[in-house]
Amino acid sequence: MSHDHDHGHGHHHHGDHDHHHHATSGVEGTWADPQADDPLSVSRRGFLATAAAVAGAAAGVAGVAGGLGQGVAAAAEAGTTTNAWTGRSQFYAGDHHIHTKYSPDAQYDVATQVIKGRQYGLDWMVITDHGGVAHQKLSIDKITPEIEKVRRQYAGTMIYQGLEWNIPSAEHATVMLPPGPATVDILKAFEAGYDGSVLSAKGVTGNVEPYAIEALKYLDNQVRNRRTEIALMFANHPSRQGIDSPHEIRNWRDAAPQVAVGMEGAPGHQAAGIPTSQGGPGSGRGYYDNAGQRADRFVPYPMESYRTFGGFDWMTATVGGLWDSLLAEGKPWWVTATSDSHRVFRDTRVQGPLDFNANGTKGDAVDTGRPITQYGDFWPGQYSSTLVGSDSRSYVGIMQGLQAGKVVAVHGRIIEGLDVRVRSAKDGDPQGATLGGRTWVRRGGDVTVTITVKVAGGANANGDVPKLAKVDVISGPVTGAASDRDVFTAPETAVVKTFEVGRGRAQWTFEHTFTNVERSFYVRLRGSDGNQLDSNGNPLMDVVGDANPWEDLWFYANPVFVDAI
Amino acid sequence: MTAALTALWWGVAPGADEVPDAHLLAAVDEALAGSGAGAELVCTHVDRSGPAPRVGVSLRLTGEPADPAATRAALADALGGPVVAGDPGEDADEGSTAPARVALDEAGAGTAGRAVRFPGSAGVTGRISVADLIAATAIERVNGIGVEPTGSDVVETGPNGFLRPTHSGGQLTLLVERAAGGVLQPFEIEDPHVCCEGGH
Repeated sequence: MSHDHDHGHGHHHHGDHDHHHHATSGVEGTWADPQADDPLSVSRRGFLATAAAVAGAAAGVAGVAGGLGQGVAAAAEAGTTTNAWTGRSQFYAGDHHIHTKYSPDAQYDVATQVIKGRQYGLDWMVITDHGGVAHQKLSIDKITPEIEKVRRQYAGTMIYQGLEWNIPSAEHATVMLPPGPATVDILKAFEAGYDGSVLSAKGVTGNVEPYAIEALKYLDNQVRNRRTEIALMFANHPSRQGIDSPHEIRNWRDAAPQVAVGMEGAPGHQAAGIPTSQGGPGSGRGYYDNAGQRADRFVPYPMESYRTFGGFDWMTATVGGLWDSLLAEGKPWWVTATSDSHRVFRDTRVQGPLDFNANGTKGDAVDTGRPITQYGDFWPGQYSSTLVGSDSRSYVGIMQGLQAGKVVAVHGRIIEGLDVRVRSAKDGDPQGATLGGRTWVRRGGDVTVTITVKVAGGANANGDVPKLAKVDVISGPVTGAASDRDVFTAPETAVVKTFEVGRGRAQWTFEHTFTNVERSFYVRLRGSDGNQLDSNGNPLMDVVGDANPWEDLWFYANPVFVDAI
Repeated sequence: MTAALTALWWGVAPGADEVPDAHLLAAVDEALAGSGAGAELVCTHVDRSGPAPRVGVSLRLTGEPADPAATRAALADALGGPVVAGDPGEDADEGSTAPARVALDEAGAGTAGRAVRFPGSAGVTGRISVADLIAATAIERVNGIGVEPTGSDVVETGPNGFLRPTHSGGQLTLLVERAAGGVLQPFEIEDPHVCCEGGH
């Protein structure tokens, strides 16, 4: 991170999206260009686009310049509903963060990860090997046919080709695209032009934050240019080293709101916390075990931000914390849960013998015949899953669900489904909105949240049938764009209601009503097995070396925004 | 700072972006060998005044070296960057010495800096109570993250006695958190997980 701020202010969510192409019209037409995949060309064009956006912001049309489009909550006018509740939402479980032997620190082939993910119930998976010089030059060409082959073998499972992008000056991020004729070209060009590791190898130093902004604008332009139907980015393990500063996250979001849509609410590597006394690696959940020693960290982050809480990242797990400060702006920013699977706890294989830099892969993993207890990862879907509501079981449909925030982050099968309906039956839209959506109420009216949660109908991958003990309703006012881009608190956000969950039923319905609503607000849910709570019902800071993830299960659902008009 | 004190404090702006602790101590000890002085407190600092953060190092010496100029030159050579002491007016080039000056100022005031070596650090290994740690070392305070330590709480420092207290509010402070087995552990541990095995 750097303390240099990019855009002065964010875009107001009531901006008129009908005009969203105008401010960038100076560069718009140039994108339909055979040179669009030339990274140098891409970079130059990107910076032109930035200049245009900054000029637009100065002219008072920031919401226009930022490219807000249809289909996301932020683009809605007050008095409209997005993600309208239908009662028929179908959830698809997936994982947007999976490594293979085409990462220098991972070891499985694509088929192995996909077979395991299917075994653990996943419908969709994103292959995200680390960006880097050798990966860009060698690995992409090698993994592409492997992914295509596995797609043909397991046609019922959606297997996305993606990238774990080294965000310039920040952490890693998932970049994912649906399969299409230009997908591989886009990924290659993106990595060549904007991967932090590639840039560093080229000698690009200093404040490289603008490259991250350009990178996201590049992806956004591939969508506008119709080279891909959709492209998404999720910031991964955002608090791990304290280098995803609040203003960087806001800048990513505002640079390309249709692309940069969220972050890992919970990092992967959840098995790392299993204590050595239980035969585990004895590290920190998520490998969140450092003390913020990076010189380039965001200094105001407190020390506890370097730990997980109930397995979730501090940004997400803190009520009134960074995530809430983003939501309080009334803008979308969604949370997920992934495996970050590199090498799996108790698997018997070790990395292949090849030199990664020379081959773009370590080669096939080698079986030692003995379970390796130092590995801190789970298989895709074994512990973490991201449930996505979608109208269609398709590559683009799942991504549209992710983009729209119809997303629940789940650990250890603590829930199987969640139907959320937020509406004002008398004073607003009686149909209401569901997760990630937006609805409205006339000032002074009531808004009712109806929650139907489907609890685990069987054992999770640890052999336990988890028991959901409680569901928290968390809410805070929407206070508009943050004047301080580095703010990471939302003091008015709080748990407003806790529902205890009983035993003996497959699903439970709860209702909470916000009465006499005078201010726009958002509402989100979390739930827990109740095993590890502080006196306020919040998750505990996970103990490095003593945090069995199966003994502390949570889910986090994405918000619904309510405009008071 | 008094004149007597300033003579004992040096600041260094290492040439490398990162200086692993072991390399730092080895370089310092090698440069000071035979000088008649040792480095009893060695801290790393971060100078955030420039566009990119830079690491600085502060040293508190056990005494004046026999040939200060020669020892400073040896230290500058060992760490690949300038060494400052005393008055900023002496600095040849403010840009290149800034991290050294920040280190010197922070260490002198006790406001920031991470101690890689400090008085008493060599004598600690394994488990030690908070009270004993304060009594036996230059650590003046033990602060908990998510826990409130008492004097009788036990800190597991590991087989190498890994401790990296930090200057804070004028006191050398060790941050601790809960650990397995009902003990505490330093918040900074010796071998945190390195992502991508340094590949990034």
